[in-house]
Amino acid sequence: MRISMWLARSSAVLLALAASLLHAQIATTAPAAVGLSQERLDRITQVLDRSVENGHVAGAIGVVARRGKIAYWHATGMADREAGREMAHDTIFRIYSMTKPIVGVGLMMLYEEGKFSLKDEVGRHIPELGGLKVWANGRAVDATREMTVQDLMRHTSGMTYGIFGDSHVDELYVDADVLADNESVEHFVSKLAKLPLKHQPGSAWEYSVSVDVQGRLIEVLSGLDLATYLRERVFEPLGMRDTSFRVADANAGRFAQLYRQTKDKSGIEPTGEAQSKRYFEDSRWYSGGGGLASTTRDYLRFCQMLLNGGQLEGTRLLSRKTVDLMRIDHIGSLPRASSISRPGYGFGLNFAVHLDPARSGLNGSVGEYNWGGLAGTSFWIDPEEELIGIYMIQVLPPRFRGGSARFKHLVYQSIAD
Amino acid sequence: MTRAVLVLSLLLGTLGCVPKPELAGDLLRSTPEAVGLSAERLDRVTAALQADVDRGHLAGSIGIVARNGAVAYWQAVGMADRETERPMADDAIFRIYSMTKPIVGVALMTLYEEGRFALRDPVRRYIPELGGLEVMEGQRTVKARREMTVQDLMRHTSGLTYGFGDSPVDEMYQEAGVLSGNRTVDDFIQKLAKLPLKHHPGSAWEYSVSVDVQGRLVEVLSGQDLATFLGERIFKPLGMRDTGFTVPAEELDRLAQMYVKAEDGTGIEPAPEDRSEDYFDYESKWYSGGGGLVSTAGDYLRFGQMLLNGGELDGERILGRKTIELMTRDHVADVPRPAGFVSNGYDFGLNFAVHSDLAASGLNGSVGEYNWSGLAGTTFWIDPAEEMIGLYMVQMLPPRLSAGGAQFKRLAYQAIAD
Repeated sequence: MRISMWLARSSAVLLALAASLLHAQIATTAPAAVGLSQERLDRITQVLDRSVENGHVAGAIGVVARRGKIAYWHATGMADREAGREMAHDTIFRIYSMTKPIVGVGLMMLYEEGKFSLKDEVGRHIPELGGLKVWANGRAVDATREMTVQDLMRHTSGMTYGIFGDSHVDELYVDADVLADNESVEHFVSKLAKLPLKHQPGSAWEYSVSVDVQGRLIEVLSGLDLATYLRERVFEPLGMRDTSFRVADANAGRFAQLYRQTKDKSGIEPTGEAQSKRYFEDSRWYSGGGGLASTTRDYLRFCQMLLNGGQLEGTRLLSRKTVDLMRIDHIGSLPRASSISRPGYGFGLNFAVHLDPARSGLNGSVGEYNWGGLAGTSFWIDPEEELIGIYMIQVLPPRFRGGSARFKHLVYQSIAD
Repeated sequence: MTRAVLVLSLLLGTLGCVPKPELAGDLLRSTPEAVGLSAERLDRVTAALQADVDRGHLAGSIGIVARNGAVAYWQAVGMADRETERPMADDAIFRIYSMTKPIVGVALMTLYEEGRFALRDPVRRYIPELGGLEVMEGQRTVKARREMTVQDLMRHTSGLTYGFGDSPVDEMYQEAGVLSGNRTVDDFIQKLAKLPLKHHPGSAWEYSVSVDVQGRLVEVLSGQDLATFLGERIFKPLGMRDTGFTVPAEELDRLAQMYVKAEDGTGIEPAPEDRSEDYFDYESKWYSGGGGLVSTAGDYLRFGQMLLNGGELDGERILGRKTIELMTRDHVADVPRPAGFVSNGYDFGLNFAVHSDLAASGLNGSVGEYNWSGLAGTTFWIDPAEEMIGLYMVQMLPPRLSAGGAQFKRLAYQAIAD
């Protein structure tokens, strides 16, 4: 107890020092000061450490912040097991779909400038995506209405991802390789414009490339490429210094290795270079749906901005009302065509929203919003408990079960007020 | 505030209706007025409890109301054993039957909080014998559409039953005697594994032996037998010193006599002795998680106060607040509910019923109040909105002559005066 207090204090001193040298830091605190139990947080440490010992992950980081302060931050295991590089607080992760909330915030900043409305047809801003046909009963038919910006943000555009389904349209997406070998975001849109929709716009929830389309929308509306826009409007104002579509050579030593399960399912192995190529290539293809690399520190700053109602340390990105609009349910009782949607959850604008912890069977709060990434990373923001949780690993599916869900319910059991 | 109230009460000598302060389950005591209750209206509760005894509908009972963390009403009336003329005492020991279930649910969720399982985990992952069970449809069995999950066990949607009905599966349960003649909890599982399910998992709410299965789950996940686990993780930290699966020989004179309706229907008579055998078998390791515990009013009150406090009592934290919130949400919104154990206006959480609509239930109370009862007429409820706990103890098997528990609850609510 005394040692952990000393550690907490000394790390607070170190962080304060770092803050004066670099950028402002989110403060650390003793857990008890924000209604968390140190003894119960220790259970998280045990579980994270065990996942490394079992060989289910090479390394992991868990972060818990409450009432604006970091109460728990544990890095365990290896960032690169084969190279003997330890997991560290500044390790850089492929966050994949955790790119989506960032692009959503970027887009809604343009909404706040009056550049578009949610009910605008996408074709009005990206003409190639107007007049798309819908594949139904073996043939292409007219869409009953055009897809809107809101459809893009709540995943009701009618588009798909290709890799998660086996319908004819999914096959067309896979054949066209929509998300690969693009020279620019515009190039991606030109491929997409040749494919029919899988659903009538607005008729079904299906996870899709629509956030990549949002990336193009940002480029068209702002006149900047997506990487430049996010850097100038989101990352620099928030001090997210390690978040970008490309990993600078100078930072390559902090980039975590990506793993996958071994064939015999007994452990994990590195995926190889191909999976990391795009973080170093020289092109203007920036995937708004999954292209970013980031750190727990940076992503926590992004989440804290949202929990604060749109601002961090005096820098306002969004108004509270816009954040509120993004984290209410936008899909109601629409059919959900994808297994990625869980019972008990609704969907807002680029976030899932927890509507019913009983139906989901997951501990949490009504109104808590979240998303995850392909390599097992996840985060959630809980306005009711003023709490943020972030879990970072680098293992592609299929993974050993339970990592992020277990982290989340262990965080909730540590609340002691 | 409550401690100040106690001191003040002692100074002014206003403990009045409170008989023995040292037997309040070690909880604080208060005058009714200090916690927003009317002493005059609480007298109506006493009158109703006494009337049941005077009419010969019950031998005796205990009613308790706690509010804001302090006991404001505690009344024992009548006899613990009418035939030997042993009066009902504050520390009488009761067979609490299904009021065992919330305790086992709390125990299981302490393991959930350690990351040992997720609610959506299939039960077979931990108890392989319960994997791949078939479902009876008409006269034949078919493959289950999905495996039962831990959440199914806790909200009674596992597809298991109790055997109280007259369907073919109920009859198979009766023939197998699933809950009797066991020497271990595993013996029970071995019998259960041979029987088909009555429903497809998740498709219907049906009260069942699923809390006995939870007991086995506690054993498998913890590596301890259920009695040891409950003792170390729940009873000892909470100071529930008289709660267990057996009645120690030296405490036998505190065990309340069990009664049944007399054959002529006019009164009550002692229940046949075989009802009590398990409570004195000190060698057996068969611990019924669905109904095997004995307890006292003071012990159960401490359990209730822990829940109302959001998981801790006197500095001992058993569960996190969010886990109790999760246990008292509606977990059966999507599930058809046959008429029966859970009436209109109630939802079901994890091992608790939850009052969701007072108009639909036609019962006074609060939305979000959660509760359960035992076969011998005992009942309790926990009301976060009013910061109130009600507890009613009696030993009368159905069919009963008095609606004791329901009446007690109605009268407790009319005593609120703030």
